[in-house]
Amino acid sequence: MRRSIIFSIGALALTVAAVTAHQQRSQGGGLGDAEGQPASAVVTLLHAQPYVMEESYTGWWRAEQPQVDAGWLLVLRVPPGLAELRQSLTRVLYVGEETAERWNSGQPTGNIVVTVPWERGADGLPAPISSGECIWFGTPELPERVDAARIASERQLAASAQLPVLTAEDLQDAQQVGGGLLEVRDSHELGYAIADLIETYSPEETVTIETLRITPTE
Amino acid sequence: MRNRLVRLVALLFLTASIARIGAAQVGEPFCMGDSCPCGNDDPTAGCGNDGLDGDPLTGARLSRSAGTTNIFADDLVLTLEGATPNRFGMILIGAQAVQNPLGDGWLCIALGSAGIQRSAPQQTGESGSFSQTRFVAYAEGLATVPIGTGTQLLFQGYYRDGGGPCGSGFNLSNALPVTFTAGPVETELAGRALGLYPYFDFVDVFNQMAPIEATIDPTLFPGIQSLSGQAFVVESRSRIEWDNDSSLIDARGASTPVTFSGGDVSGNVFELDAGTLATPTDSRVSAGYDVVIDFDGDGLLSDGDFIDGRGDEDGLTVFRDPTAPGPYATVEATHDHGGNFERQRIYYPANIAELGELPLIVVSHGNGHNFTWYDHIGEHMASWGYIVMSHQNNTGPGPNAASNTTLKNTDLFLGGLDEIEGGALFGHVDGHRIVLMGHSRGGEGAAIAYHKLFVGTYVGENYGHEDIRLVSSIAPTVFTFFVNPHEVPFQLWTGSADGDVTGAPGDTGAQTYHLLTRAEGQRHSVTYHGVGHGAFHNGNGGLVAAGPCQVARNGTHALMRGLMLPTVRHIVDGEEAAEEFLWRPIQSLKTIGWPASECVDVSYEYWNAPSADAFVIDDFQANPELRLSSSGGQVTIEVDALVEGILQDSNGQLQHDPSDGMNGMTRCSSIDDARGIAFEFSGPASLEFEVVPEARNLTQYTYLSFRACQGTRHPLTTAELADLTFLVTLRDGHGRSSKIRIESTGSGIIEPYQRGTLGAGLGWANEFETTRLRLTDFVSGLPGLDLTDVVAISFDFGRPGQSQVGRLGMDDIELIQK
Repeated sequence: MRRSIIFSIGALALTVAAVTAHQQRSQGGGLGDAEGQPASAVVTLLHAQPYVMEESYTGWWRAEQPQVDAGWLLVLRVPPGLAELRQSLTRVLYVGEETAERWNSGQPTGNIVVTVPWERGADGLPAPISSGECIWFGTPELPERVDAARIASERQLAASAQLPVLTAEDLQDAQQVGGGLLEVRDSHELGYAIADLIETYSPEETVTIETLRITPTE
Repeated sequence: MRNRLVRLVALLFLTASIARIGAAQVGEPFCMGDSCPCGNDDPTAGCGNDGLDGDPLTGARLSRSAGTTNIFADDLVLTLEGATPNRFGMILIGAQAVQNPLGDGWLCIALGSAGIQRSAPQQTGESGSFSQTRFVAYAEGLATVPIGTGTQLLFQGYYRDGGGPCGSGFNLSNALPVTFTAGPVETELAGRALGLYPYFDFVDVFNQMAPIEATIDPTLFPGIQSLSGQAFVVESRSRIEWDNDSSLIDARGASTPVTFSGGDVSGNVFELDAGTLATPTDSRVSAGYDVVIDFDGDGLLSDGDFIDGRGDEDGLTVFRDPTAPGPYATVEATHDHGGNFERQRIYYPANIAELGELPLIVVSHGNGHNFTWYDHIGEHMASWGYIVMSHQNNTGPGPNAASNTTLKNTDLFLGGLDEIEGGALFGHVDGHRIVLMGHSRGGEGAAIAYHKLFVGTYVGENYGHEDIRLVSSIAPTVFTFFVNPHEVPFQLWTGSADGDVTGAPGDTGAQTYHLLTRAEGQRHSVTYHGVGHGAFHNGNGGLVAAGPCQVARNGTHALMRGLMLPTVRHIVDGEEAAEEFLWRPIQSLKTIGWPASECVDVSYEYWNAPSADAFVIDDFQANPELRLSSSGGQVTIEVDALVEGILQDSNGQLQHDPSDGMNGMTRCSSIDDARGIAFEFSGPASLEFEVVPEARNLTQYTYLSFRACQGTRHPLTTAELADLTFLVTLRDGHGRSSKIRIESTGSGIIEPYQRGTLGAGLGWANEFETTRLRLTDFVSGLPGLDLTDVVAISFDFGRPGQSQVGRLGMDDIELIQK
């Protein structure tokens, strides 16, 4: 049985505050008092699958802009209001010590597909995500401005808020759904797998799916 | 001995000068202040005087300050300056050059065969100067000095100078030779009648099928009174074409008889065309015409006829509906270059093989948007002869990442033309005429992309920053401090109802005007009431809007098409007349196809590219003292609660707060320094700016331009919630003044969009708008005002018929040329 990550009452309150702040913002206000607090909004880790690529790509989702050739492909269920993609500052999604790369808006399902660059282990495969790691929405910022120091600071905030962490069972369940290693040539090909996941978990996002399925013009 | 030598040299110089004036019409000044009677030499003017400065070694100068030597225009203006203040003076007129001592100076002209005459005496006023014009009309009353074609006359200023250095009590200026000419009179004729003074708006652009009116102002051209002629509308010709072909062939099929009476403009307006003028059916969006009043009835452009458009510019331009599709069928195709974020949608004319090189418009979408959501731009602009490439954009990380995608996709496109669409575009993309256009984070990304090209942190394989002709940012975020459009023409689109890039003070990264502040070149900004963030694209989701009177996507896209085409035509293609779409208020010029909703309201801001031909009276960037303008003139403040400083709200809230003098301003991040003023009035009040001496000849400029906004949620704004109106007054050195209501040619200053939140009350961020007043309108019907010597510009509030109370922001008061 797949198990949901159940939040503490405190974490849920933070989530509500974050969503409320987001709604206020869409009306033109700034973020509310919850702005400086992390909001752990991940309800369920639905899918986890490691991937490797022959050709790396530039990781624009953090300030260091590392070259990425391996990582984890995750599907998360979050409150749709918090998942919505906007122009203005929104909460950055963190997975452990990495920023997650968003691929869809999660509307209206709340299911978002993300890639998370991850170090390769000694076997050349993406290292496992450890139990005890946290997946959470941090404070609002542009991911491209988030560096290691900022991530460390965000992790401290998350820890202080006692946000729930992944259990071994959570990870095992999600990896069972995700299946084995995904090997692709490049990020373009990775996009096809992402399109399939979006179609499965957030099928209303047809434009995004179609876009990711466009093949290189001969 | 020295005197005789100097005089000989002077007369030799005069001979050469008169020989040259046949070409120059107004020749070189002569008989300067050399070897003056008591050593009071001033070789740059007449002999030294007591004068304005009390320096006996500076004299009075006579020069042409405005107008032409055309006898039919009779608009030559000669100005004597540097004379002693508040004394009588006059202009001496003769035909023979001499140089004899007289008073404290030289008498330089003599009777000659035509006789010597003098103008009516004038007061030199506080500025020690006066101007004289209408010499032809004046001479008509004199038997001895008739002025006709080829008449050569000499002019010299004479003035009282009680404290003068030689004690004679009077002095003279240098002299000036003039040869009068004939030829057609070049002036503005076409425009539209107004219900208020100045009663006529001389404009160049008209919508297809709209009536066009014309006039000649008898107060500016008294010679036309009681004259009759035929009005012609002729297909536009350049100056050379007119030189080669002066025949008048009316584009309407027949000319129109007109007769001019006395009085002012209002009694001399006639309908030039009822809306019949043809427009092209090809990719041209407009047709140009010249207007001629043929007074002698010879069917030719000849001496004494009046013409609007004698030069290379059109006299008037008739625009087709810029919101309607152009003449070309379009092709829409998708191309994937195979890398990360390298998918593109391409729009181009189906008959591209028959066309030359077309400008490229690159469209960069916003976060959560899609590159397929800009058909309303792609199809429209392609139908008018542009190639549009909308690309997948990496906006999730932020606008910096997006900018890299914009840069790379542009390079991929230009470098891949031999493969894209089977090479159909190869040889048909003008890589030196590129528009970078972006929405939201993509809008900021487009500006960042230009910055990277400009500073060299991105070196394009197929293009450089000099190939970018326009950056157009639609509801852009402004997160990055380094984003800067620099000197490239920049256009900003803002929706007051935007629920994402809200424009709210305190909303980090969402204040669009910050980007406008940083632009340094030609700038245009449009703010639409009721338009939300999602209305700018044609994809999924709602309007992302908050506030009343929201404009739907169809309406928003009509607005966009109606502005985008004239903008690109003007800035990229160099079509001069299209500029009027960028600054004329919609009450004056509203595109055909404008949405029918009464909710749609708009404000424009517009700056010409910085030019030495403009003069800034006050932009508040220098001289922070309240009573000193940036140009160094005195500012007389008779308004309340005036503050000068950075144009940025101080607390992030919009409700009225007396401690926040810049409430609602959203022009500056922490690194920006755009300054301006804000003030209020609750009865008669004024704000007067001295015009410093070097700028007082306003005939060298076309418009007085300034920007103003209403102060959102201020009790004096909400007390009269409507367009705010006031008077603008010019005052000359003799105390004569002329006033124009700012709403006369369009509108007052728009009221804030009535959107709530961010504290009590209604009203969103302050919206500046540019007002341009034609300077010659200040003398229409009021020939007394001396435009060559305007000493002060005043904004007068709370006058009868105007807004009685209000709170205003103001900036960039300047004199500009057309």
